Amino acid sequence: MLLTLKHTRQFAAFYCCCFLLNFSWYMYNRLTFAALQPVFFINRLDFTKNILMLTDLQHSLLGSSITCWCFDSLYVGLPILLTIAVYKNMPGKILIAICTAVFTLLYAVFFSSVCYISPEMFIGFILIPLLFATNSIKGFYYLLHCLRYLFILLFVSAAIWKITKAGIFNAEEMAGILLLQHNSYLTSNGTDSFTRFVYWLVQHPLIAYSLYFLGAFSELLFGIGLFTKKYDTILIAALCLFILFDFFLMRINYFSWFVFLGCFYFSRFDCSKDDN
Amino acid sequence: MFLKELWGYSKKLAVGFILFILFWTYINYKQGATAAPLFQYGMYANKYFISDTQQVIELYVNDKNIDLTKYPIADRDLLQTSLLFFRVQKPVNESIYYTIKRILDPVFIGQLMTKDNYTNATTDQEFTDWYKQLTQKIVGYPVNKLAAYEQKYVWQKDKLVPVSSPIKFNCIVANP
Repeated sequence: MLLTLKHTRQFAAFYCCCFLLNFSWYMYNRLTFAALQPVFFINRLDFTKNILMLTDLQHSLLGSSITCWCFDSLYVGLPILLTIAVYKNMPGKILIAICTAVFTLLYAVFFSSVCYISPEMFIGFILIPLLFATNSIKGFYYLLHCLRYLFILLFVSAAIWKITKAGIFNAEEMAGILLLQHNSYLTSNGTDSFTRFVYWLVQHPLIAYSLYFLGAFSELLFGIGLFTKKYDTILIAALCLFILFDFFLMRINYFSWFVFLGCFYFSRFDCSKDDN
Repeated sequence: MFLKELWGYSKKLAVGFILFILFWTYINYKQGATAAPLFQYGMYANKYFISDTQQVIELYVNDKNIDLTKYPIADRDLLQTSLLFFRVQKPVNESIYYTIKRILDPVFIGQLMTKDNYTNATTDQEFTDWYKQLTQKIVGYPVNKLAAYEQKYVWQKDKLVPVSSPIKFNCIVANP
């Protein structure tokens, strides 16, 4: 089947839905600049961040509700504008796509300075807008595959880290991680079902380790995607399960990475040689 | 092969794609600083053990230890990490400033970096006021008195048990 303009619109709609759902979750949990009204920032060993900090935006965001509101409004407004631009095939679409990606990066860098959300969580919303920075179906096709490969490498790299740092070779790994991740929960409440479940896993470290191993295996499984697109449906299922289990067991919200599913879904379509 | 096809379509895009991957691989190989959006995804890759000492934050609102499990995950994380981040922000910001400046000094960017830009002037009192408001929004009732402690726990006899005396967070200043 061939990739058409309809598919680019479908992907734009999917991206916008993922973004808005994610932003709604952030808003509901007071995780926006306007809701936080931060009074301090914490730096991170990142070159891009430190270069962007030359603008002194980090101080402008402290205690200035107007700057905070502007940042949040642009952050939520640009993806909506981009989706409209893709639907209407507007001439300024490429510029809007690049601005959306750049501003999301800026937002991620500064937001992660004032709150516990790490900038890695924003990677999908930084990269996916670049898909629409083209006027041709062929351009969309190649960008889609570039992002698909990048996400695969990202996922496989997480597995390689677990191997090089030796976490995967430690039978107590998951039990130790569960204690670290949920220590305040476990010590606050010793009776509810989640606490009992975590305690049970810590008491049975090999069962806990098998979950860790399965997680690392599913990350490594993505390596298949580097050689073939045939198993993309399986990779979609693996990513969904990985994110759901991460949320249930680790209470880490990786739902923003759902947006990458589009790259695996639309990878089945080929592009016509005549498309420009 | 995809790269060959990509090269045929656009040499610029192909070069950009290859450079992105090469630079990202280099950043992962070096295991030090990142360059957003080139991040490292090595979370929970180090070795962790059941015997590791756990540091737990205990928050006292109006002289009562609050049960953090009653609140949504995001609120819980916000309450805890805000305290931890503020406690370490001064040494962390300073250390990163000097590290990055030393690397960027040979190029003109390092010379543009001033310490004031990279540090907070926030006082403990200002932080306490802000944190009190945040806690109030989360717990849903007026916060007159606030204190936080760090308590160490270890895994003994199939449960986490406290060890040593709790350490007070001094960044929360005395309540009036």
